[in-house]
Amino acid sequence: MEWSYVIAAVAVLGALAVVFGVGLAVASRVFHVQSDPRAEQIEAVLPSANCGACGFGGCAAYAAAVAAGKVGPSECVPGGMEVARRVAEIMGLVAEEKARQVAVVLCQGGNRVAERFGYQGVTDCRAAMLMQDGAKGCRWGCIGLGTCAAVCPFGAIVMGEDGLPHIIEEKCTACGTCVDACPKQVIRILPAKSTVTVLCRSLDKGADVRKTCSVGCIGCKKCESVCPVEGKAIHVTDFLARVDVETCISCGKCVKVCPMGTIGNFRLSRRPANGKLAAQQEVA
Amino acid sequence: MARTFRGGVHPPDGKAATAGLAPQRIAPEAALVISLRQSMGAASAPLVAVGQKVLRGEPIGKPSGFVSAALHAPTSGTVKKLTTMNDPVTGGKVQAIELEPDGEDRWHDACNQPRAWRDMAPEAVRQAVADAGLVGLGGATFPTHVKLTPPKGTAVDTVILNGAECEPYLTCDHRLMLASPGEILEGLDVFMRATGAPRGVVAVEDNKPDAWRALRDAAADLKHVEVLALPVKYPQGAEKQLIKAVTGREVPSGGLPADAGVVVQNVATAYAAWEALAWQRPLTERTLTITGDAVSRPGNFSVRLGTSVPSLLERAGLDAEAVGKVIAGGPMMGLALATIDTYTIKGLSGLLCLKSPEMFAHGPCIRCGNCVDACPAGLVPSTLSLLGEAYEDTQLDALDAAMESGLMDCIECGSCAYACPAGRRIVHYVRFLKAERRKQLARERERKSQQQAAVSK
Repeated sequence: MEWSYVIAAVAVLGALAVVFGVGLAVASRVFHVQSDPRAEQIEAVLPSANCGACGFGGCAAYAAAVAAGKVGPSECVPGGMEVARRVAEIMGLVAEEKARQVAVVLCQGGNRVAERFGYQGVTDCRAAMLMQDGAKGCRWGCIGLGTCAAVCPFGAIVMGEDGLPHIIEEKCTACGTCVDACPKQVIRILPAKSTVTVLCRSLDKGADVRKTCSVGCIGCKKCESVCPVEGKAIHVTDFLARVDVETCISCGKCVKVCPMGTIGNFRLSRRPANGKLAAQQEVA
Repeated sequence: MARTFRGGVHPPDGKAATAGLAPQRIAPEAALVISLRQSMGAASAPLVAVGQKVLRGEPIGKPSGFVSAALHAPTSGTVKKLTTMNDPVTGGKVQAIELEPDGEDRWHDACNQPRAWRDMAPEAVRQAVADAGLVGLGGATFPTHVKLTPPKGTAVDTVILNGAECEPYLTCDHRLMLASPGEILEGLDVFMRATGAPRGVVAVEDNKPDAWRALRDAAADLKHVEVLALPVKYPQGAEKQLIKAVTGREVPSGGLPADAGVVVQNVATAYAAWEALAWQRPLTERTLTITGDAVSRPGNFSVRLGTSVPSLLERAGLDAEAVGKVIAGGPMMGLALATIDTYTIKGLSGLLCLKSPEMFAHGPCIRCGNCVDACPAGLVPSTLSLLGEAYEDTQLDALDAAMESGLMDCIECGSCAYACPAGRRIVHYVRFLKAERRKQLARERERKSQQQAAVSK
């Protein structure tokens, strides 16, 4: 056996190892990038959903922006107050209180609304929208193909047998991904405290609504007349009732008087023992 | 070498039922409802008030912007109301003008007068085309004057008149070429004058030898005009494919035909241009084909804009019980109507009434490559459809991948979906991805403007 070959090989590779090692060491000094260690700490605290609700292209981008002092620590929507407090701690700031928000589906149509034609295209609301604005008889309401449920990064939306998406409020972080995805803009992010909501977006006249939907707002203004708040917390404009979140006292009078069962009271629906929405009972 | 383009398919043409039938002219009797959205780009703005009396050819809508078209009263009568109607293409509600005909059908004084248009400057010709409300009558409804105004830095040397009529079932262009070859060639002259192009070509598919002969005979004395018979293949009438077949030039990705030195116009648009220039008649009427196995009296019909579609279908003998689907346009690129309760517009080239809408079971891609062979744009449609599925499954980077795969070069001709043995809805996936791309761009613009606003604060 020629030991000289082995020794030569070891020597050459060893020498190369030393040269590259020194090269890398020098390079890491010379080309060192100054990074804020706080950015990494913040990123570790963030939920890593990369939902973009903060307005940045992912958790890392937001963390860098916070570390650089460009934005406040309370912008992470899914993280909520818990994360805001911890981010603020890292930055030595005080997190401002933000009211919890949830996504709400503003349509009760679903299977109750007849289809204008048989849709056989791609099973995605955004694609269905390209075919005559979706097959549903009501052009304002939910198409019901479940795009919101598919895009929700937290699994907080499930499609019910009634053909409508249902928000699981405990899981919902109000990140707004579903709001962006819904081509009918049927989902809206609302403060969790606002319990009385008009579950319809139709701007059609009452008679037209009745033709297509049994639970749509017909703009009859009964809710407006019964509202006890001074200056009214619910107004009908363009044939659609709208609740003023700021002034509504959630008394529930409009919910009772609504002839179509369009106005929802989440205080009741959150506690099923007390009863359900008129519309929900009808389905059951 | 045969003049053709790569890819393409040969669907059964279904033209026999109506190819031998000259258009019937239908006089406006019942109320006309004229959509204000008759062209690509911005809708027209109404120019008339309720109760106003108008004469045929009087402007009733003015273009709102450059890519928009003027609109004229299709007959004489009284404006009943400003209303809304179902758009026959998109299905959405659009603004419309309801016109009650007075039965006299009188032209406006400024219209229907001969004009010595050959002395007019190119700008004046273009303006006259715009004033007549001309749009591409092949179905795309792109305002004609915009196409005749090539962007700076491009020189047009050829005007191609598209008489391919490659879309199955439709024969309205065929009948027009037979009836008015001379007028169509005059219209070609209008386009050549407006663009300064020295050469004109009329391209006809060779399944219409009579139309080709008529045009050739009419063009016998015209030195700069060539009448070509192209081999039958769908989508021969697609702009970029027609340019490739006729001139051998390719329109660059993302470019306009003018980048290849060509302007393409439909033969029906050329006829309308002749009417507009030589007779000062604005576009108020078009010919369309009503056919399919659910009508007993198929045919070609020359109808005023705003004619009610149910009345036309009744005239054609629609079997209301048996009909399963009414398609606006032809079977390859047309869109099924959600409701026939609508009115004709400039871009409506046909109404195809089918008994049993053929529905294919759709399945996963089997990687056979038929769509790749069929694609006239040289794309890989199977990949685009798979990326569409991936995007649906919330893989957002699928959109970027689709962009790299030439998403925007797809002309949505449907050859791939026709060739697909798995019945995949490839065009719908492409349209879906394109729509999402447009949304993405809009969001990016919004984000940028917000960031700029934040910086300037």
